[in-house]
Amino acid sequence: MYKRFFSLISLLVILGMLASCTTATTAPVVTEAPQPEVATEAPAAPPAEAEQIVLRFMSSETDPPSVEAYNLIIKAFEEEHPNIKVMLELINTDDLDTKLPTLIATGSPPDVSQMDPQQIYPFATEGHLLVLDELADKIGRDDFIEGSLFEVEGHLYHLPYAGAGSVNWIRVDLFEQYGVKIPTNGKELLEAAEKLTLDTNGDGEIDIYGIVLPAGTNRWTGHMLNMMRWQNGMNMTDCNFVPTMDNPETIAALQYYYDITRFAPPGIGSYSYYESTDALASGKVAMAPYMGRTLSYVAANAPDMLDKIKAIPLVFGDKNDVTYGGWNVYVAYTASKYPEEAKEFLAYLTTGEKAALFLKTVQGHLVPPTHSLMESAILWDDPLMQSRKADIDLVFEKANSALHPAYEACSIGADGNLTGQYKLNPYMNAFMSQSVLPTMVQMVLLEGKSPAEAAAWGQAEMVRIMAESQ
Amino acid sequence: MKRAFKDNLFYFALIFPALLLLLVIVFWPFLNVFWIGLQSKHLLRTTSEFVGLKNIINVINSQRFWDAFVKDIIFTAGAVIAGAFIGLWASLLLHQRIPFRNLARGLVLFPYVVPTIVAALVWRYMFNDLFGVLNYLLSNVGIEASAWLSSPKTALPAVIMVATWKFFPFYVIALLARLQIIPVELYEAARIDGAGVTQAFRYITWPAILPIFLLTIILRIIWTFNKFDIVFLLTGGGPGDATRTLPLLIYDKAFLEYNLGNAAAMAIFMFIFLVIMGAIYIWVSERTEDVYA
Repeated sequence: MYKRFFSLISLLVILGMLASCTTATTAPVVTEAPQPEVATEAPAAPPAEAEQIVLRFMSSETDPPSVEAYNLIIKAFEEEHPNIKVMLELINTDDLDTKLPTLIATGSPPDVSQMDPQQIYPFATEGHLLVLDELADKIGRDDFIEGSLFEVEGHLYHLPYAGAGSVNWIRVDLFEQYGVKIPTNGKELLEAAEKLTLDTNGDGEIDIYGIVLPAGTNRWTGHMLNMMRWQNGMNMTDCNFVPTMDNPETIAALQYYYDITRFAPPGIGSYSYYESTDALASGKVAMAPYMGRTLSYVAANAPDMLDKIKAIPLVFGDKNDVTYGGWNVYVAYTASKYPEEAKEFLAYLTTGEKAALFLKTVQGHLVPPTHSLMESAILWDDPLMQSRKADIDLVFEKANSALHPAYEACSIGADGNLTGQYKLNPYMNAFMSQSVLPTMVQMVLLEGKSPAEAAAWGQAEMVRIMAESQ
Repeated sequence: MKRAFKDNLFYFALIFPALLLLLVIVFWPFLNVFWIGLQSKHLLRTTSEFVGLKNIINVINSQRFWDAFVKDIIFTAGAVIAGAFIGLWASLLLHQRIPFRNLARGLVLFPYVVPTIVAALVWRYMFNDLFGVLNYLLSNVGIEASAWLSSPKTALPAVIMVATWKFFPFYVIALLARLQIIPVELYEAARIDGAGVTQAFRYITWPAILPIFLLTIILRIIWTFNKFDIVFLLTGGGPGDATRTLPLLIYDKAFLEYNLGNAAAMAIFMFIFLVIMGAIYIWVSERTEDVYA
């Protein structure tokens, strides 16, 4: 009896540990960044009375050149501010959504971090972000590209450091070889995808697919559906943030998604950002809609393919040519012990030569958020930036008229054109984190549901999420 | 009597630091999960509101929770049963005098020692529909290529397959250790008495390894039911909710929906299930001991 009792108690202890650790152990792992290079010259000794300040800076820009640029910027900042040390913490992009709220919950957010635009509203309204109005005024608001400064209840809580624009990366050699017209509208895109789905060796199996689109449970899938909806003239929500999913435009977009992915690889049900670029770099697809990163990725991983690809506008619909893009931003936290120093570092990161240096670490992908950076000689002083200027100009152009779900409410008018309004949607973080749009795509592509069923489900789901969020 | 009390006090003083540590790192978080489960707790808010059993009721009424629970059961059953059979077979094989036995014993541990992130990334590439080796091999024998992780029909079996591959060596380690301490004389005596291979296995090997076999199975049930990383890294719970097991749903609730209260309520259900599994284990192991004592 005693033995049984002892066994049960031991078991309860073990199981208790396992169950209570379930949420804790699932937290994403943060990769510590390499520390900034040690200065070759000894920095000026801080005044004896000056307090030694440590700022934590978290980012998901983990491309090796970007990390190298961060280290250079931090080193220069520390030399100018001998009493400040900046600790760089790198994190996976997918973990940004979970890591930041977890750090808030544990009372240890960084001083400065990157943040997805849709997170700004909930973080700002819960009082976790520093107001940056004065900082933006000091830098000069007129210098920022239109739409890159979006406010929460009349205040600015972020500074943009780079934008993104979507284009269609095509295999020019295949278009020429098979005499296919460069698509200028959704119908032609569909025709091109069909014509370029090829059995090149005649063995009855497809060797090259016409296009690659994502259909995994991820943001890129949602963005793709949004682009199709936007180009049909439809926002995700109206000006009062009421969801607008159950309508003919959405149904048409879902039907188009289904139609065009008949010419896509069979495994797109798990595809996200990188699978699209991989498919193009490996020569398995003729068209790969993506952002500017494709250029540097192909240059680094498949240089033989570089001369065969070029960027063209991404066209799905006929109302407008709006694509996904938007602005990557930095924020500073109210929990910071050193808010003024955090703001100073933020300004240092986003302006001047250092910002230009960072922007060319992923050539063509990181779009300058200010007019002065756009014209910076440092930015264009790069072989790839110069040799592929036409492609990069197109990405930059598309970025400047791009939409992001976080502030797309009200942005498309009744005539289908952009209104110039950028209203941050309080519910978008919840819509995106609960993968409403990717699920709609998967319902049609993978589960055999009709576009009308998926649209109705999406509407109901967004209404439910809104109700739960209030 | 006084001496005995002093002895007990001394023993208690010796174990007290460990007991205190146990209370802090085990019972405190454990009780905290129960407490959070009774509150409306948002991840971004410092305040919370006591809501009684509301979260528990929400969980009971949630179809998504029960779907995830069933998927977790299927995932656990599939990975544990397949792993147990392969592990048993491999341990019996590696117990025989076969060529390169020591090398094989080392190599069989490979999946278990490979970090999960590495294993998941390698398998993801192997499953890839365009350049994955799995489809290439299958197409060579005339089987049509499949979108393993991208189809709702094949995603869960594919994840089970990877989990089986990754964790079957655990059975091998445990069973091989037990097999090696069975006295050889028992087999010699059985052979003299005319017992064949099957009878030797039935009456000597199986009774000897059964308790450790059950122990490893129950441990793997508990660990697999709690398994998060391998499923998350392979599919992220998709496509759709095809591989969204309970740990992934709890993760979504806590870190994507910021609903800690609901996530804690689900974790409580997981705990209850695991307690039941543990109680079954104790009951089975005691009966096993009675039978084979």
